[in-house]
Amino acid sequence: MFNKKFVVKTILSFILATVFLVSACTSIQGPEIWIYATIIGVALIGYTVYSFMNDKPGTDA
Amino acid sequence: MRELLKSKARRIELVLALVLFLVEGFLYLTFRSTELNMFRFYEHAGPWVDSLREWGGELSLPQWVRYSLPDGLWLLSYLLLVDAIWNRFDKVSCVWYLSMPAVAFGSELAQLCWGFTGTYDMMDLVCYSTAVIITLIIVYSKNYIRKKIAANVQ
Repeated sequence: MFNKKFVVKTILSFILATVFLVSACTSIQGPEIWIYATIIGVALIGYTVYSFMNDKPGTDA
Repeated sequence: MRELLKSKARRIELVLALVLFLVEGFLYLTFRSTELNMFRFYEHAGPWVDSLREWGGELSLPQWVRYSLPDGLWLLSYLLLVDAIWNRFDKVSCVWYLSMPAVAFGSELAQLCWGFTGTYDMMDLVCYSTAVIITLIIVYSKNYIRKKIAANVQ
């Protein structure tokens, strides 16, 4: 099954990236940044799912 | 989670990142234009933001400290937190390390090339680059120390 340490690190990283992405969007004028941020956000969700699907015990730092 | 807080280096990175994030937030709230998206949320926060901005209006800080340094602090804070979580740069963690630098450099280049709202500023890129360089120094120093310790153990 999943490597527990790897799952914790990935979830923490996802939360962190989301918080910083939202903070970046709020510190810029205009709505275009939200489109750009949504693309990055979807890419991060995709990478998180991909990481979990390819997780092998022992690949963890 | 407890595992993450065990190492002294990680604790230092966590504290430093939180301090940098708070300083960045303070600089934004105090000195930046109220047309930014964040002020839509802060207008409900009460009069303390206005008091802070009045107090900040009396300070004379260089332009780059007001407009570029907060961006560099934001990126450095993120990179320190990612490094505290993963503790090494490898093919698994690289996406997390590179995601916010991509946002930072990408938004700046989008302002230059595609006319995104905002002002392209070379100093922003300098501050972003400095944050990345500081992180690279930390990552490589930790790797070097780790290898030295491993060699001594053998």
